[in-house]
Amino acid sequence: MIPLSYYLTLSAILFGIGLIGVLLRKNAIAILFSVEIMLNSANLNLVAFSKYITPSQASGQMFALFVMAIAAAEVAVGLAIILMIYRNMQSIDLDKLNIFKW
Amino acid sequence: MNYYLALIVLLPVLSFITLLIFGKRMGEKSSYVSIAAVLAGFALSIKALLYVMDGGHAKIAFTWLSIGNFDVTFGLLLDELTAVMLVVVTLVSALVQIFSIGYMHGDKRIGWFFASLSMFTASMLLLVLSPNFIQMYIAWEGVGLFSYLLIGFWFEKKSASDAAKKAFLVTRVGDLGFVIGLILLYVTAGTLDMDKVFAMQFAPVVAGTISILIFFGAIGKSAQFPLHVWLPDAMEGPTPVSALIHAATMVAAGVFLVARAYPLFEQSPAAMQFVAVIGTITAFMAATIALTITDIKRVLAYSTVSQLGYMMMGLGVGAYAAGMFHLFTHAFFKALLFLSAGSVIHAVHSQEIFDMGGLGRKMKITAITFTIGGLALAGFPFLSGFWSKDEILLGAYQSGHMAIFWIGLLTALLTAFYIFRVVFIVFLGKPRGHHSEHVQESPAVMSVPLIIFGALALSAGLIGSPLTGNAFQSFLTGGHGAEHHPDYMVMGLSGAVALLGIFAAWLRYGTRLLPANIISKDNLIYKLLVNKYYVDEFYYKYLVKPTHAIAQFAYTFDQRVIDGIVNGVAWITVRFGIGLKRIQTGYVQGYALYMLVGLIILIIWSCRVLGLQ
Amino acid sequence: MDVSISLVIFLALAAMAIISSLMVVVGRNLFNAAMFLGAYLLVIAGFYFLLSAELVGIMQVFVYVGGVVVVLLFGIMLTSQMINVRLVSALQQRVLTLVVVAALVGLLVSIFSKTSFYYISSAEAPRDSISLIGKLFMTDYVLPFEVISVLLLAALIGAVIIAREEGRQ
Repeated sequence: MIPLSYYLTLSAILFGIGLIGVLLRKNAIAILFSVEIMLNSANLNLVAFSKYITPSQASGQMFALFVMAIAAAEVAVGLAIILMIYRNMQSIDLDKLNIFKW
Repeated sequence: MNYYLALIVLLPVLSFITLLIFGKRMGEKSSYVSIAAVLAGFALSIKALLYVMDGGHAKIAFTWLSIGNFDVTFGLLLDELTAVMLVVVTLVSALVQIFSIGYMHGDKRIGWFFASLSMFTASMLLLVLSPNFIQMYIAWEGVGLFSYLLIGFWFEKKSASDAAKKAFLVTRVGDLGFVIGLILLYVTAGTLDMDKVFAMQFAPVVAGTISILIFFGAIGKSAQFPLHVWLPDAMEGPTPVSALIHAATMVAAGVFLVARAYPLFEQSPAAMQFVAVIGTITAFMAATIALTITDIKRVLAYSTVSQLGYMMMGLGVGAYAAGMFHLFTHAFFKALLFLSAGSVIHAVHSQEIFDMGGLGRKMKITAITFTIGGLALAGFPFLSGFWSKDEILLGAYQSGHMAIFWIGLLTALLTAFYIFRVVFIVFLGKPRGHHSEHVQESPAVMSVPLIIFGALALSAGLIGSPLTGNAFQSFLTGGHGAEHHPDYMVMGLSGAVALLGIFAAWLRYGTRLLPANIISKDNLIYKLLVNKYYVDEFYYKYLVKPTHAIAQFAYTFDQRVIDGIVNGVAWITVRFGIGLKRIQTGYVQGYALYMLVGLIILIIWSCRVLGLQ
Repeated sequence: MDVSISLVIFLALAAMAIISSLMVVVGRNLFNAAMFLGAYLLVIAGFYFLLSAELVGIMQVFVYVGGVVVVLLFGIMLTSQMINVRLVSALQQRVLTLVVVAALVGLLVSIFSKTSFYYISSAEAPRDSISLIGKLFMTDYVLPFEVISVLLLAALIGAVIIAREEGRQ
């Protein structure tokens, strides 16, 4: 069997890639993409733990399913917010959304 | 009797409260409330006096608060001394207030004036009725407070508010000694109840220390040397207030204190000596200063200081009854002098005696009453001042204090001279200044009290004179006082010096026989006297200035160092904030990055805690 | 399944996942990025199958590839920011971010490599994981299940209200 740490390492790398996206992309929708990457990497982690530690109870899978539901909700709300911002500011470039600057 | 006693004090208090609430609305009518209260008090005081003359004493006491073993009792005590003081205080206060109706006519804050007078009187009454030192001290401070308010009644004038402050602070110096004395007394005796304290026997040193400390309070309050400087300045207050302060309430408090604590003083010859010496110095010094003063009220002020010195001298040489007798007679003739002076000032609108002159023809009543007061003060034979002053001198003579006796006699000479200097300048001669040319006699509310006081100044001395067998003195000492035979030598001497003083004053100011510049203005003694022995200057140089310097230093320290620290902290915070605000870039991703750094630190830290690395 | 075969499959999938996710993050074209995201999500679904979590894999395809990606494409079109947009931050922030993220990933990986998982179970997964999960949803996890349905409803309504144009009520 493939060692658990392979999955963990992979998910950490994917998480990091998603994080780079979140921190560097300027387009709000692109940031939403990156968030999805991060969420999925975490989900991968959960399912892997489920397989390796509690195979007969499938609790990790349960968590993964819940995360998916929440992710769906998050995308819906997030997109709605982005639309709202776009309508008000004519842009979704985060560098221009700095009205809270000092 | 107890209820009446309580009423004597409570009536003016009630009047105070009433006037405090309604005084503004009542305006001039507020005087009726105040005078009614004090007149009722006077009637009750007479009743109390009669009661005591029948041999009755009264004492009420109840525990006010208990602190551990220390009970503060509150109460009223009526004995011979108190009864006399009650009558004097209420009578003088009543007449002064009646006089004030005329004098204060048209003042904006007249309601407050009468309210303060009421409370001033009430404080003094409470003081004389106190059966223990704590209550006495409270009333003592009450007298101080209301004298402060009354001296500074015209606080719009800077000199008045300064004088009020000076009076308050200078008497406070004496009060400090008083308080220390009381604490010492409590530590030694374990009680401050007068009956118990006076029944005890102390070591002479202890009794002396306590007595002298208590006497410090009297020095401040009764304006004895070296704390006499506030009293002349207190002339800035309205003249009726000066009359009240000088005659019955404020300054009498100090003499009364010594008289009250007399059993304590008697246990220490040194303390008695101290009182006598201070009294003598004060009497002489003030009389000499009064020679050169040209402000009519200040002359009277220094004369009060001098007469208070006499009283202290009397108490100090053991002539207890004589000292109190002088307090009694002095109350009337000094109130008379002040009110007459007030009447003059009211007419002339000036206090300078050289602005006056020739007033005798225009203000007959005032001239007569002032002259009667002057005669009484000078010790003109058979007037009230003569009998009491004679008693004091006799006391000094008989107790063997010859130096004090001769200085006292010299002071009597000076007294007669300086007061008749004023009389001759003000009432004889030609008018000086346009105000004194068309003056009018004061209204009846002002002249009637003058006449009453005049009558009292003429006659009040008789009850303590040898003619009535020293009735006053034997009453005060509970009947077993020494009824001495009159010493005609002393009596004759004191009468003679009075006449001599008056004659000298007439020679100098009443006639043109002597040249006006008989005394050179460059004379060293003259300069010393005009500058009042430089006592004020001394205080200014060695007390006020260093205090100012310390205050200035503290101010600078506060401004520079304390405020510097405070402002510095604020400045650092502001700088820090200005620096720190730059991380608020407004870029969400920047914040996310900070968060991430925090997360990493947290992970590392928890690894450490969990021992993973 | 033989270990080596599954390892090969794992590594292949891992390579695909990393490449597609990198494309999402660095791609200049938003539409292409969305496509790569779909690919990435499919790869993750593959991992789920590999981990014998069939239901999760199926849901991944349904919900993410079929739902989320489509919705995001709508979002791209509605904001008309598909091409010619500034996608990446300034160099300074790029370097800083890369360093910090590398530190985080390195930290995590080092922790994983040093951790020994005592609880590794050798038990076989049940053959029919779908019915097990269904049972669990209706028994042990019934409360979170209901809560998540309320959450989805709330998100639905909330998204509508937020995105609604103010003028057209």
